[in-house]
Amino acid sequence: MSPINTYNWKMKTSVMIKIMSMVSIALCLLCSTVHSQNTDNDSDLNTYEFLKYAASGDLNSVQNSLASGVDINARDRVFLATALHNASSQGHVHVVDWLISHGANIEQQDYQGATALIWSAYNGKFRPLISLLKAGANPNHIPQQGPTALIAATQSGDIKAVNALLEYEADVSVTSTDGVTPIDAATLRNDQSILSVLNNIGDKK
Amino acid sequence: MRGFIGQIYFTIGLLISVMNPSVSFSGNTVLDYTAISVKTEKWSLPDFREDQWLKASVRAQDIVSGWDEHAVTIPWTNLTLEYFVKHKMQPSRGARALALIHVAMYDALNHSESKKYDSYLTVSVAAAKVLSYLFPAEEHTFMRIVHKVIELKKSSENFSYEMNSAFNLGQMIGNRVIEYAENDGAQKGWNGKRLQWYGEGRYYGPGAWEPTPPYYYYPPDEPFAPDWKPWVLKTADQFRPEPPPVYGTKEFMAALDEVVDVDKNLTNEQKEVAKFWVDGHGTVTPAGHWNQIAIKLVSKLELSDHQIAQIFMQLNIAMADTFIAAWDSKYHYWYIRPVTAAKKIKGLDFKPYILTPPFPSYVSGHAAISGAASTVLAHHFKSEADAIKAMGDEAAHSRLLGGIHFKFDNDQGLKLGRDIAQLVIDKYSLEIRYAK
Repeated sequence: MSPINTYNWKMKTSVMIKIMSMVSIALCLLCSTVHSQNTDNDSDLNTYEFLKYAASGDLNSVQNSLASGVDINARDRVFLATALHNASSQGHVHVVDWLISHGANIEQQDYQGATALIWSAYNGKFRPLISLLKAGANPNHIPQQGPTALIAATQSGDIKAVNALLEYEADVSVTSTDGVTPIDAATLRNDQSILSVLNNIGDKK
Repeated sequence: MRGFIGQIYFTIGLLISVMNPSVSFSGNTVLDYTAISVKTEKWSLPDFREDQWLKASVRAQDIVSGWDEHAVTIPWTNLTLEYFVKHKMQPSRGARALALIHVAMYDALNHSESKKYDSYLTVSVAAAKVLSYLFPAEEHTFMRIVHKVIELKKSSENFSYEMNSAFNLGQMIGNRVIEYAENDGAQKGWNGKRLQWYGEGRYYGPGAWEPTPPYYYYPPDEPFAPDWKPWVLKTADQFRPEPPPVYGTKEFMAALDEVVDVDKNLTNEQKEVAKFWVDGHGTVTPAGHWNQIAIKLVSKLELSDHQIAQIFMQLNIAMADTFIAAWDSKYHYWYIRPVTAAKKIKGLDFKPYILTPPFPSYVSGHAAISGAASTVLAHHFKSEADAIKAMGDEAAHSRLLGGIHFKFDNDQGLKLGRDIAQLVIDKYSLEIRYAK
């Protein structure tokens, strides 16, 4: 083999090795991207299921989801709702209590800034509302959009919830960002019993 | 690249035609027929009772006599709508069904014309195949009708064509459309008996949809429709409307007041409009209603079978895709119905003039479908474009009159349908590209 041929052969080998290394790196990068996409999808799916279990009151499945690594405060992508929002809105007090006792954030907000307390008031779910208030949920939180807890309870016509919120120091003068007060909401509904309760508190103030 | 793919298609087509000279594929079609396995199957006839054949004869006679004044596809469209009513086709499934039928008939017509087969037979067999798929309990009914149609055609004078080939071609096109339908995602969630949906992705916060009175149907209709495969849209959310007004805001309250006020002051004429467009369960459905309008329109002009088939293909594909997009919006926003909001905010036991259907409000499906249909038809019937668009507007407005939608549901629905219809017109008026 002539020196020129040997040189060419070494050159070829070196170029081949370089190409193979680049291909290997590219493959590794591709694999890691695919893997990370799969992991994201898996994680989304697990969160999706977890939130569904909370909404349907399936505590065992909620517990299993958390055991498999889902974050207790995981939120859905569209509405940013947590398991606590879902369980509170559907009246599953056993799930609400369990989530609270295991560190769920009671002040977590959805895409409109509404908390689980507002969701329970809006849906007229009294027992989760009490659990949340007992756990220290803020009854005067004003979301960026939509009703406060007292307005939501008024709109669901739930006088028990209105009384409970007032007991936990909900303020009748707190307005929503649209400038609506609980008394406005009760007047619009012509709900005389709630109106009377709210007016009494207002007069005392 | 396109040329290379074209060559491959051409070669495959050539091979198929060489392997089976009675059936080859050419011409413009919505679906791609080059890759399907070409096998001819005999449509064997089980023994039917005399009265069953008699009924089929009457039906076949209707179809064949319908061809005296209508295009080849029209009598089959009428028959389809009749079975919609008979089997209480869900309005939400009607648009999909009509798209499948009309794609089958359009493709059958194109293939048979290019092969110089009898298009009446090919179209009839393809339509009957797809109808059998859509109404499995009636499979034999459609089979009998087609055989009676063949008998009637045979007995007519000047009957000279390759009947077997035309028959086989119709069967294969029907099978291909069924294969497409089997893979379009519309089976998702069904376990054979009931829908397996447990509230995945549902929103429960302020302003969320809830089951509505008086029947409180649950689960909502077609929650998986946003995952169905569209014909021309890239994705269901391609034209997803902007978010609706936030629950409880001044804009929302004004829209709610409007629904309640309109309902309170409904005139008899407005009630008639609301009823005319109601198109609920047990009717020809909104998509079927627009097919009936289209039948009247095409009968006014001298159009070829091909032109009529193309109009109906575009019309029904536009409505099917619009349905998917409208349901994407519904299950993305989970928006409250007026009847629920009126109760919550105003304490009103509001009774809408027509029944609130069991799915979220934003956007109105009927408005969206009417926007799509009126745009396609106005494009083809330019001298009547204004009147057709006005019909689309009226159909959308009828949902406000009926008390089941806010005005913004209707406005955004119309816009969504019109955008999608324009996409369909642009695609199928220039050249046919295969649907996936």
